[in-house]
Amino acid sequence: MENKKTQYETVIGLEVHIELCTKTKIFCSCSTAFGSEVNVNTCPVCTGMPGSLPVLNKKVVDYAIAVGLALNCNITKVTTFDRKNYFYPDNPQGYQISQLYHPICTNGYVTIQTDSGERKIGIHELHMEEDAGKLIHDEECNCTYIDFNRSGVPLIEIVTEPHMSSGDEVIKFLEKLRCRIQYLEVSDCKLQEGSMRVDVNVSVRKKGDIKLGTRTEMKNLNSFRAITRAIDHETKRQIELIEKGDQVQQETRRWDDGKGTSYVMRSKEDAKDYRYFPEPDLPPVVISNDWINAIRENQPEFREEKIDRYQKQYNLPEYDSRLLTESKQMAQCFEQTTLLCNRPKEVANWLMVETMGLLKDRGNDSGKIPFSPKQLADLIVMIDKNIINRTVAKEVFERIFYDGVEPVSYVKEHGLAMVQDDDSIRLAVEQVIKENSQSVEDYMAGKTRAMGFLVGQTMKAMKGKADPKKVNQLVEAYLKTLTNI
Amino acid sequence: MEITEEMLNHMILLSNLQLSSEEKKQAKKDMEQMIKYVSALEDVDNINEVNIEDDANSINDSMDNSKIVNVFREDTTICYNQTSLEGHREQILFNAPKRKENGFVVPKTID
Amino acid sequence: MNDIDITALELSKKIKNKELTVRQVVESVLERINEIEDQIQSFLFIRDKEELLLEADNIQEKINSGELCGVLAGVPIAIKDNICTKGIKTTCASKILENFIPIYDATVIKKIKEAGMIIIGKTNMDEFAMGTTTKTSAFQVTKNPRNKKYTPGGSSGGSAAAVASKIVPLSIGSDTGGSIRQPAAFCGITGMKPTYGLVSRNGLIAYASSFDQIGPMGNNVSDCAALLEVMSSYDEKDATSRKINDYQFTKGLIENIAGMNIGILQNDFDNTLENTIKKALIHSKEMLEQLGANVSYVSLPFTLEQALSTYYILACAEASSNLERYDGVKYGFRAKDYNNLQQMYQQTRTQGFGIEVKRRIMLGTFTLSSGYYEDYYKKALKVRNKIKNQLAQIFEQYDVLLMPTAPVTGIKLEECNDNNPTKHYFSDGYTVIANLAGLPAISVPYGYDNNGLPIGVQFVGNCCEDKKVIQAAYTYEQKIKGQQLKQNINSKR
Repeated sequence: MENKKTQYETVIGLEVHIELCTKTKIFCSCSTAFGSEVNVNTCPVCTGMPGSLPVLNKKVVDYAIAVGLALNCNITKVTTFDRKNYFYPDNPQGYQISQLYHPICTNGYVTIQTDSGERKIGIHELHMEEDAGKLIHDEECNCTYIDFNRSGVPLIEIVTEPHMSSGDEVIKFLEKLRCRIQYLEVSDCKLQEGSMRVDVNVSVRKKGDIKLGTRTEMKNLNSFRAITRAIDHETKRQIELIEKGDQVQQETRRWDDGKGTSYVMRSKEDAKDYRYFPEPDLPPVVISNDWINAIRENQPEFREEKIDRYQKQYNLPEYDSRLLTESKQMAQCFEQTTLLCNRPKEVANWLMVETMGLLKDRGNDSGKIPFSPKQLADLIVMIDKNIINRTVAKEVFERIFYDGVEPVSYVKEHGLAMVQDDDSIRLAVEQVIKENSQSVEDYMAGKTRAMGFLVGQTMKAMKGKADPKKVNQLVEAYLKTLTNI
Repeated sequence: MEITEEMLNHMILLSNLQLSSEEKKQAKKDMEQMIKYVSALEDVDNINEVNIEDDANSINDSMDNSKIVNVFREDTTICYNQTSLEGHREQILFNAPKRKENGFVVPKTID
Repeated sequence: MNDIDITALELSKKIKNKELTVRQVVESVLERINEIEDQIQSFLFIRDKEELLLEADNIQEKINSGELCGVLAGVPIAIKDNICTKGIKTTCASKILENFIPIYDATVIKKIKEAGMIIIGKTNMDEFAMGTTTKTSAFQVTKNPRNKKYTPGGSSGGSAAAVASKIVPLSIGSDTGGSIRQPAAFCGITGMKPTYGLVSRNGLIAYASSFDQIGPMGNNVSDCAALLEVMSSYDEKDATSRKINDYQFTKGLIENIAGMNIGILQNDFDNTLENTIKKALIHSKEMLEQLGANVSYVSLPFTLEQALSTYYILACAEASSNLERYDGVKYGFRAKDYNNLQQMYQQTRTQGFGIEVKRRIMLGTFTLSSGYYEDYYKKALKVRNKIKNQLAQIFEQYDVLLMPTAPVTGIKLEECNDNNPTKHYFSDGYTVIANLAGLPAISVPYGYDNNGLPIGVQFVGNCCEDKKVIQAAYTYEQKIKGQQLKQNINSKR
C-alpha cells in the first residue's frame, strides 16, 4: 500500500467559516452574546417571522474588508447579497442570506512555509453570510428543538483554491489564517468553540496528472488532530477505491474522530438546488477606495512583521520572537513592557518562561494575561536596580499573576528588599562559617563546591534577602582571609 | 423545451409540496406557458448584461431619484420594550405550533 | 349617523369641531356593518365592539386635549389582512396562517395609530396577495358592492369593498402587480400605489419583495393623499425604504394641470381593451385638454405581454422564496399527520396553501432552478432594467401617463374558476408597468359602463413624483364630479 501511495498526490481545498465577534447579528440588532438562555437573543427578523426585513450591520462589512486585506484579496467595488434557498429547521426563513454572485473579496493568497519552501495558498473568495440556529436533540421526547440565538450571527466564509497537498500544509494554513484573524481581533477563531469551522475537500490523482480527481467533502472536524487524521484516512480510502478499479463518489462525509473513520452524509448528486438569486430586501454595498484605505491604515502589524522586527530591533533570537508573537496579546504585552523598562531580553524571558508557565498551569494557555505591562516593568526595574534578587522576584511575580499586586508597594510592605548593608552580611557569613567548619575544611582541601554550600547557607540565614552577588564576594573574601591565616 | 415528469418531480421536491395529478397537469401547462412568455422576451432587443457596477454607481444628482445603496445599521443592541428577556422570549414562542423548554419542537433531525 | 358619502377629511373635521364624537362614528360603522357586511363579506375579522368603543373614547380624549390633531384623527379604517397588526390575527387569507397573531405592528400600522385612526378590522384578499379576484381566499368570497354577481377585483378586494360599501371611508391595501388599483377600478373607488420605497414594507407579509407596496384606498383623491401622508416615511427597519425631502403629499392637491404634458398609452389598445374603456379614455383625453394639459398619444417601446412576462417570472420567483418560511416550524398551521421532518414540511405546505399559491411557488421554483436561472430569471431581470430605463426616458417628455387601470370592467364571480387562471393574467397588463419600475400610480373612477360597472383610469408618474400624479388625478377627479352620474348602491338607507 505504501508503494501505491507515493504514486499519488493529494489535492486539498478548504471552506472555512469564521464567526465574527460583533456585538449584534448581521441583519438585526439582537445580541450575539454566547451562552445566553435558549431563544432570548431573538426577534422577528432572525426567527423568520412574516413581514420582517433584514438590515445590514456595517461592522460586518468593515471586518470582512479587514480580513480580505489581510489575505491579500481584491475588494469587490459593488458587493451584493443573494438568497440560498433550502428547507431545514435551523433556517428560519427557508433561505440563508449569503453571497454568491458578487462576494466581497476575491483572489487572495496566504503564504506558508513548507519543507519544500514557501508556498502560496490561493484564496478563491471570501463572503459574508448569516449563521443558522442550533438544533438540540432531546432523547426524552425523541424530538429536536431549535434555539435561534445563533441564527443570524455574522459569518465570513473563506474558500481556498485546492492548493494544499497534505494535512501538514492544511494545519500551517489554518494556523496562519487564525493568527491573522486573531490579530485583527474580528473573531476568537477557535476550532473547539465553533468560532472557526473547517470543511475539507479532498481528492487524489496520480502524480503528474493535471486533471483533478473527484473530491469528497469532509465535515465535523473539530480539532487540528481530527483534520490531519481525516485527510490521511480519506486519502487512503480514495486510493484504495481507485486501485480496486472503483470510482470515488462525489459525496459529503462526516468524520468520527472517536472511531477514526468517516461515513457518507449525503451524496452531492441529489444535492439541493439552492436556486440562488439576488436578495431583493438588501441594496448593494458600494465600497469606496476611501473606505478600503481607512481600514488598511488600521491594519495591525501582523505576526511575520513582528518576528522580523523583534530580531532586528531588540536583537531577540528567532525562536523568542516566534513564541512572543503567537498571540497579539502576548506581543503587545512584550512591546509595552519593553517600552517602559527597556530590557527586551529580560521581558522576553519573563513572558516566555514564567508567564506562559503559569498560564499553562491555569489550564488556559491562550487566556488573558492577568497583569499589566507596568506591573511587569516595575518588577524588572527592581531587579535591575538590585532592590530584589531573582528568587524574591519569582515569588513576587506569582503574587502579581494571581493576586494582581503592585510589585513596588508589595516589596515595601513585606520587607522583601535585598539587604545591601555589608556589615550585616559579614556577620551572617562569620556565623555560617563558624557553624560549618567541615565545609571550610573541604574548601581548603580544594573542593570549590563547598563555597557554594556556604553561600547558600548564608542566603538562608539572611532569609533570602541578601544580594547573592554580595554574599558570594564576602564569603570568598572571608575564606581567603582564613587561608591567609 | 419539454417539461418532463422528472423535472416536475424535482420542482415539487424542492418546493416541499405534494400535488394531485390534476395539479401536476396544470403545473406542467403553466411552465410550458412560461417558456412561451419568455420567448416573447427574446424580442426585446439590445439587452446588455446588467453591469452591476454601473448600475449601483449611477447615483443621480437628485437625492429623490437616486439608486438606493449602502443602507446600514450600527452595531448596537436595542432594548426590547419588555420587562424581561423571558417576557420577550414568550412573545417569540407565542405562535409556536409545538414547543419544549423554550425551544421550537420539530421531528427528530438527522445531522 | 349621517351622510354616507362623507369623506374621511370631512369626518375628522366634524370630530374636531365637536359635531361628532369618535364613539358615534364607530357606532355608525358597526351599524353599517350590520346592514351590509353579510352580503359583501369584506372583512375576515372585525374587532370586538367593546374594545372599539373603548379605543374610540381614548382617541376622543386625546383629540380633546389636543394631543391628536392630525387631519385623520378619529377616522375609522380597514386593513388588508397581509399587514401585521400586533395582537390581531393576520392570515393573508391563507390556512397556513389561520391562527397567526403577530407580535409586532407593521410600521404603517404604528403610523396610523399615531395619527389617531381607528382600525375596524382586517379585510379579505387573494391568498398571499396572489390573484386578481379575491376569490382565492381560503376563507370567504367577497362581492363587488356595485354588483354582487361580480368580483371586487384583487388582491385587495376586501379593502376595496369595505370602502365601496361605505363601511369605512379609508382602507389600506397592498399592490404588487396592480392589487390596489385594479380592485379600486372594479369597485369604483380611488386607490394608489406610491413610489416603491415611500411606504415601509416592515410588517407587510411579503409576496414579491421588489414589487410589493402598501397604499391607500378611499372614495376620493384627497382622502388617499392624506392617508398616504400619514403612512409614508423613511424606515430604518426596511433597507429598501427611500428617503425623500418631503412627505407632504396633500400639497399635491392642486386643481390645475394647465401645461402638464400627459401621454395617453396607445399600447394594446385595440387587442385586449373593452370598448367602453376605450371610449372612456378618449373622453378623458378631451377633458384633460379642456383643463389645459398637453395631451398626446404615446407608445411604449415594449408590449404589455413583455411587461407581464417579466413581472410574472420575477414575482413568482421571489414569492417561491418568500413563502419558504411557511413550514409549520415556528408559527402558523402545522399538519397533524406526519412521521418525519420531510413529511411535516410537505403535508403542512400542501394542506396549508391553496391552489393558486402552489402554482406560483412551482413556477418560481422552476425559473430559479439551476439550468433555467440564466434563461428565465436573469433575463427577466435584464428586461426589467431595460423597461425602467425606457420609462425614465418617456418621462423626460411627459409629466404623467394616462392609461386604463384594467382592460375589462368586471369579472363575474362564477367565471373566476381555478381551471383557467391565465385568463385573468391579462387583467394586470396595465398595472404591472408601475410595479416593474417602482413608479407612483393612482386609479380614479371615470364613470360606469352600460351595465353599471365602474370604469377606472390610471395616472402613472415618474419615480418620486407622487405629488404630480396626485395633482393630475385630483384635477381630473374634480372635473369628473361635475359630469358623473351617481349610481345608487343597494343600500337600506
